[in-house]
Amino acid sequence: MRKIWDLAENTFRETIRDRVLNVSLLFALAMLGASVLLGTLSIGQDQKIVRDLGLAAIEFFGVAIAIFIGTSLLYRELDQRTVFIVLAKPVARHSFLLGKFCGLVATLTVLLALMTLAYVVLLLALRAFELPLLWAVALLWVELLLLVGLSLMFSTFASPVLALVYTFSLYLTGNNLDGLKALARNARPLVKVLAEGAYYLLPNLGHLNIKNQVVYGAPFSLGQWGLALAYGGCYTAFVLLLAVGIFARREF
Amino acid sequence: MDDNALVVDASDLTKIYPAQIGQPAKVGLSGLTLQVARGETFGLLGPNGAGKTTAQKLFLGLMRPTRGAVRIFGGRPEDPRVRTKIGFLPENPYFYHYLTGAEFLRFCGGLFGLPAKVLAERSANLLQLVGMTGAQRVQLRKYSKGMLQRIGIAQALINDPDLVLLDEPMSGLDPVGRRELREIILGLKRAGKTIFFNSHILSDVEDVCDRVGILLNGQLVALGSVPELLAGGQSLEDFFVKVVSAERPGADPRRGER
Amino acid sequence: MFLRGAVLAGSFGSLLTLAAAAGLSGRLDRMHGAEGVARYPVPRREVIQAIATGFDNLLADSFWLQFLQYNGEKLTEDLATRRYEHLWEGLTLIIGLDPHFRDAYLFGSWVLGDAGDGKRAAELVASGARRHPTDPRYPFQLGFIEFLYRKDLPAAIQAFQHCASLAARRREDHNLWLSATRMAAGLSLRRNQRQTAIAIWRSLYQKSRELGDDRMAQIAERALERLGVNVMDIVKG
Repeated sequence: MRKIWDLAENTFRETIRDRVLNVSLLFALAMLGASVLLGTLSIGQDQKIVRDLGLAAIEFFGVAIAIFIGTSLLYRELDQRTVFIVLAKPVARHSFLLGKFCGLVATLTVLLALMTLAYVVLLLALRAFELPLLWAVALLWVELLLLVGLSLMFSTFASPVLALVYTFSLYLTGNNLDGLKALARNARPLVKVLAEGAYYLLPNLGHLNIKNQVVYGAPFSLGQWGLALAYGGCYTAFVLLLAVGIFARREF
Repeated sequence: MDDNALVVDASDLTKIYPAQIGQPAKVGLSGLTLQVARGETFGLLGPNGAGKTTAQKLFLGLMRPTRGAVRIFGGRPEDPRVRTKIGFLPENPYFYHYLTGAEFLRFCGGLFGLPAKVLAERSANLLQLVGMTGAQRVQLRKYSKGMLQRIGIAQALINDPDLVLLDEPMSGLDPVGRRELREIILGLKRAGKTIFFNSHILSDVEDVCDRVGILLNGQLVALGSVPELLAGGQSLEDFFVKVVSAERPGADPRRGER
Repeated sequence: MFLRGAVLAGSFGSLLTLAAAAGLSGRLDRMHGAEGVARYPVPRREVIQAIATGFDNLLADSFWLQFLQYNGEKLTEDLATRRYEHLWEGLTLIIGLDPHFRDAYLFGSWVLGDAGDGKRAAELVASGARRHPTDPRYPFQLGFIEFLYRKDLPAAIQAFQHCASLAARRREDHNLWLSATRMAAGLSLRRNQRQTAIAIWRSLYQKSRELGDDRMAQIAERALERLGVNVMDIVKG
């Protein structure tokens, strides 16, 4: 446990000092500011637009950083040969991978907290704050965990560019799985089985996305939220197990 | 020879890198059989690409052998417990550049689960040993090649290892640094440590090693104590050049073994 | 000396190229202008929804801002030269992405009605009302669309009455309740249905008494007096 902690701390230090992070944070804050301007253009729906745009900005930058840094994290260790130093020590392969995972997750948590803080302050100033928005942010956090897991899993066997492409493709598909389900409904038996199988096997990020509902302060059940949280947790655990399995067989 | 005294016990250790697109399969190491006893200082010699690094990676479990096996302290190197007793300095080390020297040592010691107090004490001693006390608060990105090599040696010794694997430890060091490192190695030897190092520079090994092996295209072509190999009064360099230029694939790899 | 010359030439060159770029940009703008009105392109809804990646609301917002930018301007233009484009497609795209986008229904129906498409204006608001069955703003808007653009007084009266019944439930909708009642009653009078108008005002009066809303009751009382009804009669039954 302590080794995972040490590795996580080191990864946290590595990623939090990444310049990409500062630039992204700056952009995210600028986008939040811009949402106020856009809102005023909208004749009467400015609160809704600020809420939408803010959540979208938080997700956009969170996802971008999770995927970009996540897919390059292992490559950096290999490229700079630091992996030899660490794995020559009594560090199990799974500890190494979990340490990397936890470190990047810690960085993303800090980033998400900062962006959310700015968002909430802005909404409070505009009297547009609704508590369920924070529930959406919590599910977004789970989505980021899942994406970091996917990034790490792909980068255990693929180059950073390919891992980036794979993870981003899964992010896009995972958010548009409804189309697949619709396809399954109207398809021939074989296609139907394939489409349905893919629907249940692929990460359904739509479950972790309630931002379109919460901006209206619409009532949604805590039970659904909890299930979504559990779904994201399970899938992340699955992806991490897969990643550990591949990484344990890898040679350096 | 008592088996328990064997620190490294490799038998028929073979690594073949599988063929990749546009590249045929490549032999990294071929049938290495080698024993290193406790307290011995062993030098593995050979030109670049001969398989020296492959051998050390197999000793550390960073790679798995295609054939054969290696036991370290009687255990499998994949077992993290075995690695608690090993210190390793990779070739041309390039560490986490965002850490300072002291932070890096603390990180490495943490991976061995060293208690904070022991770690602090040992870090201070090692920094002094490698002459880096003055630079311990400087980020590694600002270190020169020689400084990285020194901090690399310090991290390899942070767990007070019984077996020290050094891959080209002299590279990047100036003559003063080389002499200091030689002193460090001799000190470890006096402390009863087993040392296994790779080098392609002969003068490095000549006066510190009890035994040397010469590796060529993945095969061990000579093995013995320095005086044994140099029986004809030739210098090690002459011997090495002779062996390498002869390139006799049929040479008995166990020649000169005790 | 040489260096200074290079710096000078570089600065001059950069100024020159920047000026050229600005000039070309202006020229391109004029060329677009010459082709006629700026286009309001509406992508296919199925395509956008398929690639929305969970950012449906954000896309709805951006299409809404685009809709306003293009069609909102038209509202202020001269009636005779006003020409709208793809109103229905634009609005259904927006509410397809975000079914709760209130202004897309309400404001959108104004624009549709103004463009002479009262049928679809009513359809749009009605679909909003179906999705938000307890929100009185949708039937309120529907009443106006039926009245102003479709000249369907019975449908308008029905919509306003429905609005009033919804608005009566929530204190913050009381003004809407009053307005809807006034509209329903006024339109009934217009159809020479004095009795209906009286009935509408009477129900408002009774309900506001029940709720203890004196201001509302007073307004209803005066309206009834104008219609020649004494409130005391109502109280007596």
